[in-house]
Amino acid sequence: MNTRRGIPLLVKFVAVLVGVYVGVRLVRPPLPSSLVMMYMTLTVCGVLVYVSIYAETWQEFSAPLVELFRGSPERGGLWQGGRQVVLGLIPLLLGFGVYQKVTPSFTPPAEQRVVHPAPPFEVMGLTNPLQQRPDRLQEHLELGARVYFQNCVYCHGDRFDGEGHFAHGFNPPPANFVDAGTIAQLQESYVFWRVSTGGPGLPAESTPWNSAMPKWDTMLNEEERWAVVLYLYHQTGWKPRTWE
Amino acid sequence: MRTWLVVLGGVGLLISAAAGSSLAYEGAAVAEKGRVSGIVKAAGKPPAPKPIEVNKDQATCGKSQPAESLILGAGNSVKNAVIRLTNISKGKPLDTAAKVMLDQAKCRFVPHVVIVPVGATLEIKNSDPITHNVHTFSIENDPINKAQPKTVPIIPTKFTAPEIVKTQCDIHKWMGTWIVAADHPYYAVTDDKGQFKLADVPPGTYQMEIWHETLGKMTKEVTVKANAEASVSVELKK
Amino acid sequence: MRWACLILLMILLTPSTGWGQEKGASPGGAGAPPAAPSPQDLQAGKRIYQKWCMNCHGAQGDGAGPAADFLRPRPRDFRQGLFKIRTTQSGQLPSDQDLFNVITKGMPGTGMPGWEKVLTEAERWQLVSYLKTFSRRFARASAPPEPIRIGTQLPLSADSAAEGKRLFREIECFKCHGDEGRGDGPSAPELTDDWGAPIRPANLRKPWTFRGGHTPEALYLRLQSGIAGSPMPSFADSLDNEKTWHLVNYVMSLWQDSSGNNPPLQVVLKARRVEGEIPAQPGEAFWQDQEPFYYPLVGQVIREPRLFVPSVDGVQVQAVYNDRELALRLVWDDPTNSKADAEQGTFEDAAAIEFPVQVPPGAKRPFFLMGDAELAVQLLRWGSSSGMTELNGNGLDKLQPQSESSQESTAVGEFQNGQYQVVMKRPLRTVNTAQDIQFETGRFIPVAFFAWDGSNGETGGKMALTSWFYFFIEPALPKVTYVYPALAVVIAGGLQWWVVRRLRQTKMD
Repeated sequence: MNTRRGIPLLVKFVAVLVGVYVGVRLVRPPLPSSLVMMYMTLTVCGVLVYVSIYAETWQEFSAPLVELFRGSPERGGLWQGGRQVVLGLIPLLLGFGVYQKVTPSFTPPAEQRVVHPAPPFEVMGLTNPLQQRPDRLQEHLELGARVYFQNCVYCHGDRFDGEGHFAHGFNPPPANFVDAGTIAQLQESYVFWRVSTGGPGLPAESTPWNSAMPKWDTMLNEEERWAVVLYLYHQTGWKPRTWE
Repeated sequence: MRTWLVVLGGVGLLISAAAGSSLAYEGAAVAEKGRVSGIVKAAGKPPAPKPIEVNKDQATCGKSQPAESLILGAGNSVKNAVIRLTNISKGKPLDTAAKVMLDQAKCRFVPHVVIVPVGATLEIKNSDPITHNVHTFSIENDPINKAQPKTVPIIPTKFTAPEIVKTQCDIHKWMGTWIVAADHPYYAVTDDKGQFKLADVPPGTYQMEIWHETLGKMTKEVTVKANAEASVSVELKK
Repeated sequence: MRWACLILLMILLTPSTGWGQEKGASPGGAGAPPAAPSPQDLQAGKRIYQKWCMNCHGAQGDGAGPAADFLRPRPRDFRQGLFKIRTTQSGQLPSDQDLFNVITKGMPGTGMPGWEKVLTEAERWQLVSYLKTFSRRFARASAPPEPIRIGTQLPLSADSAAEGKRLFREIECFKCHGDEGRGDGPSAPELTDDWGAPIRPANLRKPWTFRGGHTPEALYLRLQSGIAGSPMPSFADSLDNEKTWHLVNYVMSLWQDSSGNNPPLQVVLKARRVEGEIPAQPGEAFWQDQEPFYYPLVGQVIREPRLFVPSVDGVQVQAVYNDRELALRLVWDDPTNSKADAEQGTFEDAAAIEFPVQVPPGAKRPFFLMGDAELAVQLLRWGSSSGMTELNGNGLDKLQPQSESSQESTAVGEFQNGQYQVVMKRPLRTVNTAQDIQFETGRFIPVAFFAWDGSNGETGGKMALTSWFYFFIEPALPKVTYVYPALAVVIAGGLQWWVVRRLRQTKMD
């Protein structure tokens, strides 16, 4: 190959690496870092193969590197100073990398929480008794609204999205009823069970000690609890799941 | 805790009732003039409110402030009751060019009840070296809440509709006053002896309303004859 | 090369075209209220109101819906036409846009959420039209209210803030907002709103709770317009444009974070190791250098008696330890310094830190609200009257102070200008291992916080709280942390030297 003029091969090499890295990082949703690492390794290998396939290209590629390490007495003072800095930085950067690796990073244990645990057998068959009285729907909805706005709104919010004005104080966050993943997935009996027994009624895999959901069966009677379940479905527009 | 609400509602009712019954007032020269004089007394022995202990700004406000919500004189006479004719439609002109002063002096509104003609200027003055705020609780007029530091000696204010407006200073909770926005000149406030006078009244039979901030209100009929004084004595029951 | 350019161009253009579409989707923007509402608009507004607003603001707009008694501030009563957040003079009605903005963004620090996600722009305008029917004042008004003109802004500077501070004293903002702005002024405890309900002046150091937002313009407008229905008056008569900006700048200079946003929540409270004695006085300069962690507190609404309107809304915690003891500094704002008094029926102010007695090996831990029958918690509690107490809990109703001999914690607490600062100290290890947590480094220990404002009727189960977070006592870094990097530098340097030598030799050959 004839010696090309224009951009030196080493610069092209770096440009390709940077270009691929930026490209990979721009992918949405973001790729996991292990995959990014793999792509970059592939790219480095590929470009290395490309530059080493002919003796001339290899020569063109490696010459500046060799010159850097070996030193070049005919170069100017600026180049000499730059060389010293680069040679000094390489071991320091490596040392910093190792420091990052060995410093213990303290991350809290991951919470393995089951969001919708299996309910106890006795609640599974229950049906909402208020559904039997469509003639009194309005009355039941009014009761449900009153119960919701005197007891639930602080955490689950006016918009039923789990963003009430106390929500930011709790972890796990209060349930978002608008979300397709909560009451839309559940039967009325299940929601009734969650309302009735609250956090303390959860099985161990759902970390009952963290849940701020009260045990409402001590504070609300059965009709009030069914009414608030009815109201939730009415207000959010979801239909409770039924036995298929 | 809900006293303001009650007061507000009461005043509202009072005004709406008044608005329904009274006609638009027309001012003109009065040829034949009669007078009304009278005295307002309290029935029974209503308990006198205790002076208020001052817990801030004592250098200006002193250590205690007299409670002005009920001031009784000799013979149970009532100070600061408001008297007005409710169904008068014609009489002497309303002085809309008047300037009426409401002062805040030594952490007290002076006077405690002030009558200002609708359209005239109420000059709210701060004579104290400290900040007060003038907070009105009105329904027919736009309710204002204006700070008045010592750097603002006068805040001129106007009222657009007849109304008895509860007014207070939030910084000094005891400071209260009643601004009576009057749509005709036949309004009066009783003095230390519970006495009042209405002058230049055209002859006729009128409904007269007597109102007091704690004793409530009542109405009484009064007949005024030319060049004569009608004398009225009323007893307010709580 | 041309291809590369083309691809780059496409990548760069993708997001910008997306933005363009989003803007195009809302024609007219938020600045175009309907000229006159049709009966259909009012009907639609009424339906929206009944679905989303009525349960707080009441079917008649009287602010007396079922939730009203449990919210502070209470939901607004619309009948008087008094609205807090306005761009108009004192005494004037809000503009339609003012009402629209509050519906859209909500009111920070209150139960009023923003409705942008739920209601379309058209629906929010219909709601504005319907809201205006609750007060006769809107129908009576002959002309639309005149907006306050915001003059040329003075940028935030030390001089301007200093002038603002002087004005803060001159016009007596401190009477309600307190000497340092924490809402603890001498007039603060007696303030009521226009309906007679108690109301609190803003804590000027917590801008994220400002009802109308915390932009400089918002602060300017609150000073000029006042906050209708509340004791906050308009200062339009005493503050010209320049003075208003000075005061705005002073208020902004009080903020810990100049953005005015709430401090970020950190899940892990870290205790750093220090050498030597830890200062016991909370005012010591030492504490200014320790990393602060902020935890928002909310009302205990889980067990009776519940607290719906807590007073303390957050606590800042700093933690350090030495070879003997652990020290925790708690800082929280409380507008009143309350003392326990059985005759007056008042309670003390207090704060507590909760740990499990036994740090669980797995995920299991005591119930966060004072433990449960199976697993006990320990509380380190400081009260303004009672001082430091160690307690154990197996449930909210099973909370007992430890015996006199087992009380090994000490504390120093101060109250100044609406703020408590307390330093608690406890030995890392104690004798009473059955009841006391034994602090070990390098473990994730569950931790929770509580606060009581006695003058708000808070005592026992009526308190502000958090659920579990983590407490971590940072271990001293192992030696290898320093050895390995040093080794890496030496090896890399040596290798490099060898390479350079080799290359030079080849050149000579």
